[in-house]
Amino acid sequence: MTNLARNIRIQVVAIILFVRRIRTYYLPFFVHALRVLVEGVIKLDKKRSERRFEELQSASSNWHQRVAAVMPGLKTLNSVPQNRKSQLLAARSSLLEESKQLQIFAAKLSSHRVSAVSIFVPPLTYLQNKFLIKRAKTESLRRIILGIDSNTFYFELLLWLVTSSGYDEALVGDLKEERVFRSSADGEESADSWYRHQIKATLKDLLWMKIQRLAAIGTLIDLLDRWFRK
Amino acid sequence: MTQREHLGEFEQLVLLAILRLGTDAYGMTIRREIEERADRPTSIGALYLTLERLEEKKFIRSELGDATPERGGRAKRFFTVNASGKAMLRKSLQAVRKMATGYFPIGETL
Repeated sequence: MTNLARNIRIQVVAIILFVRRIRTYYLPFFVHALRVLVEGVIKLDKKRSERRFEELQSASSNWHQRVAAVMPGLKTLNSVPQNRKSQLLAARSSLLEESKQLQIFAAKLSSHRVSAVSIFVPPLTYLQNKFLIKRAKTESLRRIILGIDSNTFYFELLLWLVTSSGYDEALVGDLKEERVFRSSADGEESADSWYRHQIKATLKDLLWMKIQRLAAIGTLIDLLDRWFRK
Repeated sequence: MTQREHLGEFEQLVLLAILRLGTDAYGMTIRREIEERADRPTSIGALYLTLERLEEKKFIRSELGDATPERGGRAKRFFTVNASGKAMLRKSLQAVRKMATGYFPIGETL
């Protein structure tokens, strides 16, 4: 292989790696930071809600103690002196008012919803999982780069570009394994020819599938466009 | 499994190959099994497209095996047919058998 051809290969790989670095490092970092922020807000909200609950518990226990202190006097209200009677009635009305306020506070606390930012957690988790798959795909690209001088380099690179993330490793591994098997059984030349043929057929099938998907999306857009124009 | 779902001929072959291979069902063995038994040349790409579709429909599941040097350090992906996949395959084969019985003599021996 000439130096120029090799340099072209290196440039092709560099461009792909640059694009992938954005998807596998910068974007995941941004998503991770966003998730940390969202989880922080949720934790803060939970803590605030717990503190309010503790306040309610303490106020409620205080209220019960005061009720317990006033209750015996209220039960014998008619037999106590007028001065004491007025004090007890004032305490009762104050306790009743406090009870109403405590009920309102408790109702607010029970109807408290988790912070609205929690709706971002599922999509962020989904994105993080997607990025993990993308990272695995980048790892498989590294294996292809290791074989940059191989005569099937471009075939493997194209195959890597069109296969879906979960299957590309298994697919290329199967092809390599069969190539080794055929090489020992039928010879190197026959194995190479079979390998190239398989990659071409696979590329044709996968590209056709991609075109069909694009056509399906195009048809959907067209239908939506017609529907909105009506 | 919905009423509208059905299996194509190649999907049937793939499911049968996985069932026949048992614990050794991965891309290359499935492809060989189909080529040898059904006498049908198959590209590995077409096979993986079908496997991906079947897994999306939850008819099969897959798990990664160990990486080996002859595979360039890449792991095998082993496939297993789920109960829903077996039920769908049975239904699909019964439909073919019903259609063939009394028409093709071979249908009676299916």
